[in-house]
Amino acid sequence: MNDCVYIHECIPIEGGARGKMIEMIRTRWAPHVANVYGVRLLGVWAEVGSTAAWPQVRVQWEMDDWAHFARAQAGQYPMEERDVFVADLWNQALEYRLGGHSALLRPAAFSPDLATIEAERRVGDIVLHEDVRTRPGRMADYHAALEAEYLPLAEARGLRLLGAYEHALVPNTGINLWALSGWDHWQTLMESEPGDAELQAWSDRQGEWLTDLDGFLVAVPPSGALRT
Amino acid sequence: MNPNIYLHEYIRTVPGREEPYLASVLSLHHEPSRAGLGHPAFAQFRSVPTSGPWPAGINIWENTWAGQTADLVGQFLDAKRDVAMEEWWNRNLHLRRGGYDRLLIPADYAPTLADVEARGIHGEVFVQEILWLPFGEPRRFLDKLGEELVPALDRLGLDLLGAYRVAMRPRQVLTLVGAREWSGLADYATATRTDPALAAWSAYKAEVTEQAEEMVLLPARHGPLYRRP
Repeated sequence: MNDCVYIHECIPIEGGARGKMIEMIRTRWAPHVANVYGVRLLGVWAEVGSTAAWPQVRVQWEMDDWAHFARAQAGQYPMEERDVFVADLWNQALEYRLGGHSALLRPAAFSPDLATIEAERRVGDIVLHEDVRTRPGRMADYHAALEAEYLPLAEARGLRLLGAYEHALVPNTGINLWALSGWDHWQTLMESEPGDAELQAWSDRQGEWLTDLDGFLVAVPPSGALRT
Repeated sequence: MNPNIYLHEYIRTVPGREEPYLASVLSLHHEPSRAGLGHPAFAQFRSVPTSGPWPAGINIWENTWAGQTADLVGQFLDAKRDVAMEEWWNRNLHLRRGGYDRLLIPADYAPTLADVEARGIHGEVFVQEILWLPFGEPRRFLDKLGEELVPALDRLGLDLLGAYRVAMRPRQVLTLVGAREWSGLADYATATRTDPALAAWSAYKAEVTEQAEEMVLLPARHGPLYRRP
């Protein structure tokens, strides 16, 4: 059982500052909120422009539970009054981004927490991000099918589940995250997709629970690698 | 059988900078330090305020999964940097604000760039449709499009430029139809009501489409589909 609470941020980037935004989160923002509030950085990724919107950065934070979430948020906000360092980071980052959109997420029971992800080394250069929208009231059924039916198919193809979440405030909305071992792995998956009857059957059947699914890639660039 | 994949890039251009942006993209192919890099432009379009969002530009590149993977490795890993591309990207920020890309898997009958060139396909105006269909419908839709719409387009003198599924987005299909002249688009719009085969196709399409985004497009002046005098 995973009782954690997550904040997932989607941040459109101004100009060519995607790498700078990622470096700021890795080197300054994440260490600060970890030290002061115990908030953990689950991931910071560059959205792979050839598969989705660009230029964008995705960030996901993990907290132990709702009590931890409340303490961490209350400690930071309003930032001008409670956390001078976050306030300064926020204003410095205006050079890189002007806004964003965040989602407050709760995990499905079978969704691993960060400690599990790290212990089981569920890591790779790229992550398949799936935005899902379910038919009204069907998120629990979808997650049950995802665990029972799709998870074995995905694992057989080398995908490792990083998370399956539902939005805590917006009904029928969720996110799945799958770790791929690398770019060659993605190429193999894409090349085999047209002839993969098992995956096609699952994909076609998802309409039983879902109204839409948007998949795209997010990448974990090495430090300093991203110059756009 | 079309063995390729296609990278479809929708670019939010700075207003009034559509053609300069599209030309700057093509200029990358002439960068001396990038000899041998890059992939052929399958199509380039700019928006026109006739139908759909504007201003925007669209690039479509013909590629393979292996080629696309190599391109992304160059962008996201330090090992195989494409420095000229990075510099171009940062130099042209004044021409575009951002975008949204898709990777397209063609129907077997969708033309390759070689087919387009062999058939001499060009046009004054093109129509792009992105449709959200029920799960499981996109492959049936594309099969039916090949059987029902393509012959009707042939009768009307229109060109099917593309018919694709969208990778990792199981509900979406993207189609492109070209008209040699604007009157061809008018004839097509009329025929969707008066031509029995096209009317039947349109009825099916309306029945299965749950969301749609359309764009009427002009071929970019330096792009492969522009008819030069």
